[in-house]
Amino acid sequence: MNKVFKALADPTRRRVLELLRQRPMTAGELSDQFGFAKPTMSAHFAVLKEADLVEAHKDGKQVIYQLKLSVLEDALLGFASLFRAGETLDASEKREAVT
Amino acid sequence: MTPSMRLHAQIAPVALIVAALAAADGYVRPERALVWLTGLATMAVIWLVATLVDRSPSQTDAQRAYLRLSVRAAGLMLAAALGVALVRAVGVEDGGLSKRAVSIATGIALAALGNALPKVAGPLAARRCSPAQMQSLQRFAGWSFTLAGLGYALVWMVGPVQRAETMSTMLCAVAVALVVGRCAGAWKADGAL
Repeated sequence: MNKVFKALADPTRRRVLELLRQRPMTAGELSDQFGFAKPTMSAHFAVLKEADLVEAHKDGKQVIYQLKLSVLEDALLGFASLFRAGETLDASEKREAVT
Repeated sequence: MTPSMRLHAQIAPVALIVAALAAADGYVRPERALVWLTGLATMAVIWLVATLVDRSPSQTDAQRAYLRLSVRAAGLMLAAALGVALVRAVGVEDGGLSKRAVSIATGIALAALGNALPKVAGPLAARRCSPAQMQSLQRFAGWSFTLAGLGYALVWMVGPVQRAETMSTMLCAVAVALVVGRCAGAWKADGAL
């Protein structure tokens, strides 16, 4: 369960899961939604896979990600998004980095 | 241990409990043979169906784990029902407490199975319908059965026994109707399911 909480604590990973709620997407489609470099996105996908929240399938050269959330994990994702878990921390970390 | 052996190893103890309770029920009240024989036959059918499903090569490890969980939950519910019947047969009056306990456990089992449902569904690429639609159906079914199970348990926890029976059955019926309705709607929309 620790891995699930770690995965859901990050706003980017939550956004990935929210996008996947609409439909399964390729790694490229998901990456296009964020302004991060590919390795950064790959690291996020790895954390989500490690927590068993997404599943990846190869379709030719593309990797398709699909949601693999239990109802409880889905509800946790909803709560984490509602309370914006991890976002305040990120903001304060950024402020510290600037100063 | 092969997946098939793992399945049998996990079902066997539950089946043994069901058989022991059925035998005890049969000994105490042989005139109610229909009850304990039905329990015994149901367990046998569940075991047989689970074995056949488990042999399918398309089953993933997660689906096999879900199957084992479902069979054990079903076996324990059967055992609980037979246990309650036995308690009553030997003349113990518990004021409906045993029925309440079994029903609460049934609700929790339904919620647990509903919770795991969207996670164990097979690769969407393997289905013939739209992956987005299939995913949406899986999530809808999972939420419906989880909420119905929690409601079922809650009704039996706090409601009067006479009303709890009707209300809990209605909750399950509504959940099943919603899921079937949603599936039918999806099938009508693109005829893919």
